[in-house]
Amino acid sequence: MDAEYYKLSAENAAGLFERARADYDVVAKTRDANGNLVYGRPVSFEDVAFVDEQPPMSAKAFALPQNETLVRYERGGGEIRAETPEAPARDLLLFGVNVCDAAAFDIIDRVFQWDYLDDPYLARRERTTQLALACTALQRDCFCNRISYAEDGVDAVAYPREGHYLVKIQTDNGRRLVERYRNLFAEADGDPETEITSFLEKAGTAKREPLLETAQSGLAGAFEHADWEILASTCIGCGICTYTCPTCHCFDIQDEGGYVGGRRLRTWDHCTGRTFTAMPAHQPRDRQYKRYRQRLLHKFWYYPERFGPVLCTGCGRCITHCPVKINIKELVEYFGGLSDAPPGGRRHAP
Amino acid sequence: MATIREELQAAVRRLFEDDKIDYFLGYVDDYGHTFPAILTKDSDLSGLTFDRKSYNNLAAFLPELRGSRLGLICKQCEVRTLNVLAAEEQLEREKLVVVGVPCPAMIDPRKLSADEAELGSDDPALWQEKCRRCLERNTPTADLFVGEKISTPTPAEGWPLLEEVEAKPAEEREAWWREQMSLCIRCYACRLACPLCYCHQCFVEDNKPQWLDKSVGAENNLHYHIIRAIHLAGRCIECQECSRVCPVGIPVDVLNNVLSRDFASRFGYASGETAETKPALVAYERDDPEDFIL
Amino acid sequence: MARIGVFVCWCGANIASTVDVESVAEAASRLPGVAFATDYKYMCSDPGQKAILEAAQEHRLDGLVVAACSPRMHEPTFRQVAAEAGINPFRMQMANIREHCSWVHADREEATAKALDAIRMMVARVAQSEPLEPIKVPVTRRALVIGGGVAGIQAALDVADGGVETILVERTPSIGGKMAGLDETFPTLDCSQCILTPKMVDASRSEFIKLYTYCEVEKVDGSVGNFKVTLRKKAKYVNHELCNGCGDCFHKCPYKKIPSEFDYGVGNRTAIYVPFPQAVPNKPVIDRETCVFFKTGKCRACEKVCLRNAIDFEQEDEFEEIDVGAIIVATGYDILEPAEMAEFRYGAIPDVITGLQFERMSSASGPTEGKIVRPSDGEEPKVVVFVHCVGSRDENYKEYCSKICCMYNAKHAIILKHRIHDAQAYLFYIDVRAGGKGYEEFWKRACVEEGAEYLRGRVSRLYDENGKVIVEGQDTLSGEQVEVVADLVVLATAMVPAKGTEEMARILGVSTDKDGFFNEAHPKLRPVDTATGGIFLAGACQAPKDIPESVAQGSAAAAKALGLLTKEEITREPTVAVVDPFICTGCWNCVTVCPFGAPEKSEITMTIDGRKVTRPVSEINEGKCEGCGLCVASCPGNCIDQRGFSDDQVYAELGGYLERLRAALTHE
Repeated sequence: MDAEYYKLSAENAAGLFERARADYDVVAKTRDANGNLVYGRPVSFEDVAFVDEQPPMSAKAFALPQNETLVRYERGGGEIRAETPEAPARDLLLFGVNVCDAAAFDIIDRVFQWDYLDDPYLARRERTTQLALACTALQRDCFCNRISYAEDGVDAVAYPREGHYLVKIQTDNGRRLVERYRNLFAEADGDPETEITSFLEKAGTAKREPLLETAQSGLAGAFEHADWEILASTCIGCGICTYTCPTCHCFDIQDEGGYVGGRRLRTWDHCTGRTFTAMPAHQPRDRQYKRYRQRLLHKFWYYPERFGPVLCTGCGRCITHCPVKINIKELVEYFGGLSDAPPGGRRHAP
Repeated sequence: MATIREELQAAVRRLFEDDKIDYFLGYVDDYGHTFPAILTKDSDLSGLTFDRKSYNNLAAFLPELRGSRLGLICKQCEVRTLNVLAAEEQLEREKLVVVGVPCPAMIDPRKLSADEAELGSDDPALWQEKCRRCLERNTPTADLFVGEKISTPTPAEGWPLLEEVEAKPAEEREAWWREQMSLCIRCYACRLACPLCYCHQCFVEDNKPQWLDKSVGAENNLHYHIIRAIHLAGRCIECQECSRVCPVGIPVDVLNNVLSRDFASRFGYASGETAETKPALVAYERDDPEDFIL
Repeated sequence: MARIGVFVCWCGANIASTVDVESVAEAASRLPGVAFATDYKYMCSDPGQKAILEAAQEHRLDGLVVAACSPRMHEPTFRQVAAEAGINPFRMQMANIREHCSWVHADREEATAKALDAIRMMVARVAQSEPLEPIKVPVTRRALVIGGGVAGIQAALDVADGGVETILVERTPSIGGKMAGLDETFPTLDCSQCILTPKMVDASRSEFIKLYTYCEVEKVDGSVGNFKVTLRKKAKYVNHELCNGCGDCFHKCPYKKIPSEFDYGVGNRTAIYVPFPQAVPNKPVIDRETCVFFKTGKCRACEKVCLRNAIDFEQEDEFEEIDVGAIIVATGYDILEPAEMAEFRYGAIPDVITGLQFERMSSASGPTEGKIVRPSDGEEPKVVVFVHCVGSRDENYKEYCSKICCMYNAKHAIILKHRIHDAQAYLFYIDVRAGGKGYEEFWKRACVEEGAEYLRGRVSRLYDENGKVIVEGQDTLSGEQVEVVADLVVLATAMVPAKGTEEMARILGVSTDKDGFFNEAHPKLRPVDTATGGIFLAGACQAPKDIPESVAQGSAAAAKALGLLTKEEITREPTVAVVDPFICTGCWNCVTVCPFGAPEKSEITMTIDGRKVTRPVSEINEGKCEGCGLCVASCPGNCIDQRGFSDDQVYAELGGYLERLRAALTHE
């Protein structure tokens, strides 16, 4: 569809939140008991945090929960009863989430409906609407400005303006949201696209030198590059980058419970881990730098080759939260041939 | 006067030139972060530094570089770790060149604002908790010391967060732990950043028998954290890396601190004090009170 | 699926009266993995074993569960049966439905359910059991005997008689033990030294016996067939190579008033001394504690008179490591310190002495040359009270009977009469225990022929008055209060394990009973074995014993040791620990905790990413592993498993136990 533009006053934004809570399961940024920023279910508009900062955990879990029961069984009275959990009962509204988080769904939808249709995932996606909030400034570790694809698949993006939001509707799903609460939205005036462009320029999030287009061919020849070992050997193999990543979607299937009852469930898994794919055979990548290389190349080479977009929205969480601050953007630039200088000046013996 | 950065780079360059080491394990800064790096003789050393964001316990990288001649920066956290590793016979000390530095205390990353103005401050309230308890700011066991020695302020006593948690009534305390544990995503960064969690296969990875379900949840997560704490009982040297790396902000080390305190009060034992300090839980003497010991 | 046979034993009525064995067998036959189940009156009997063999063939069984008594009883029996049936013996498990079930329960229904639980557990375990082969280890053909009393001497002589080199270690300067200090022996009244000294000399002369006196066992490593023993040869300060035993040194030693340990303080010795004239070796040692030279640096009288320059004040304790295949422990006994029992006034009244002191007095070679006297004034006692059960059979001290006191009290009464014809012996006793060849006749003789007065009752009070010891007590036969005005009181104090027994047990890795005596492996069937293979017991270190019993046990232990040492190699249980080198980090917890030195530091080289990486790993020396499981439990990486007790087996067993709970939860 062609994009549509609306104005949402600050006052109506509060009204939208309150009204939507009656119709949707509303998820927004809020603070947990430790004062940390999270995606949660604030009960009032005052509890919603309108900040650029991202919660450590992306919004991915609302479509692909860390644990997801696929089938549950119970034994008793001489029989075994099995049941599959029902699809979500309510529509989900991701309210004011970061654009980089909202954008991730459209990217990973492709893998969940390629070949095999992943019912539990798709059932949740079908009932999800995103109303993302554009950031006012690029933060230290973010690089969404280098990801060309980014916000294209997001249902609706709100750009904060003086006293109101400029809301750009990009999908039918987004249009349904506006139609549902039409009286809260006003027609946008002027030239909204130009306004958005200048907003992005000011925020520093306008696109430049997209990594995909510039690095993919370089990466394709970099698999055997000697510097992987030295640059990625500090990777400790934890799951932070993948678990906080809005686009990483690898999972494991586990059985839990026993004779009396139990469940089969899907849990997140991470390719950087030592035991990844050990259940059918073994982890084929015998050293940590190879596991890290796998993650990077999957995102910037294999995935776009198969599905189009890079498997990254440039949110930067994998840099911010990395215990050893490995910088995926810098490494893509270096191994993709965009930069001669390896991050931190490290270089392998020639 | 040369800065520590310059001195360090010069010292490391010499180590490579004199063919004393194959790798140097230090910190470099780039893109606004200070982070661990493995450097070779061909590396550009201009990123090499030691500052108040040199958080990582570099001893955690020793297994990766086993067998190589290695130089590494050791602040007190690493010194204590090396002592435990030596006592547990995990250390190839003769292959190490321990480079000592004056440690100015690390600034708690959770207290750093975007402009990082705090880096210039000497307010102990901004330090990581471990730094307030630090007993030695210089590296007593260094093979090579870089920079000017500095004085160590009187160490703070106690574990403020642990004491705060303990002061809660039992039910509240349980609720607090449950809440913390429900945040855990079991990325295992705490375990992997820990220089003393060096098992090739952690109990959480065993599946025959499977000690722990893979699914997350307060109970399972607590199970993991408690067993890890117990495996570190009498070993943890309180570098707080587990808490620092936690992406969801769980103060994991509170569990370790409980045990450290018990070891201190019951056995007069502090892990990693010297390389000869035997691991408390496996060392035994014939006159130990337990009569089941043969 | 496994094909396991389940055999439920009735054990006569032992099991069958409480457990419904037929229904248990029937239920067992329906368990997964069970191909056949039956019950029989005595599974261990010949027909019972035959039934197993036949069933194994008919049903092509590959595992056995025998539900019967404790595996300590019949595991070897049924492992043998399994082997004969062509089933790996380690795929045979016993479900103990006797000691653990029928004997301790009264409710038939519950006991039956529990018996089935036990069988279900073992079936699950056998299904997970790997076949194991026994481990073969070569044997060191040398024995060590610890303790040179009569039991140890007998054991050493008998082992040597079998042509096996024997090392006899004694911590005092001479072998001979307690028996060397006795006067005459019951019930024959032959002279103790006359019958013992020839044996002592034989031991010292045997080409197969190496005598180490004044020597202690410091450390024992290794295990059955191959022990490594560290001996501490205490400094004698006399070079026994040079010394010819002339005795000039101790005659010249100016310090003569040191209470003699051998005489229990009745006589004295010098600082350089031979404990008794018939000592073997008959060469002196210097007691560093009492020698004035070691205290003040002056004297050296002995050095001056020694014509052979044998005195060597520079000597130090020496350590020697020996390899032996078997160890016989014969560390003997001591008596319960009588001063600790204040009511008997020992130490407070000089004329209250112990039976062993009486022995030294009445011994012709003793300090009084056989004269029985009152320690207080050296007068001949006319009225002597012998008190039985001093500290024995007394819940305040030792609950057990010391066994020999009844007989030696009778002997003392007879000796008293023989030496002092007008003396009267009174014996306060609880009852007289005289089980033994000629024993009953012996105490009757004391009573009837030698005029000893037996008073049945405990002594209630002892005090001294006008140089006499007044002994009050009740004669429970007449019901009258009795009072004896005695010249001398002799206490038959309880026998206790020799000092240092506890430490010895620790060094040897064997257990002791509640009273501190060494534990035998089985009270009836393995009385001279310990639970640790290759370590045997002889004499009073195991329980109070008299001379014939100690000698018999010495010979028995020797026979056991010879049985072991005449083999080229022995087989060991394959239930040893095993390390997964891919997981092992080489933390050496296992090395630290293992009492047997089984885990050894080793290395593994792996090729990772084209790079050879060598790292330290632990490796179990199967010849040393006793299968105790300490390393398994202390391995932080869970990389050690124990064969025969693998995690899989234990979990399967637990699963079997939980089955009943599961069924209850699921209403099945």
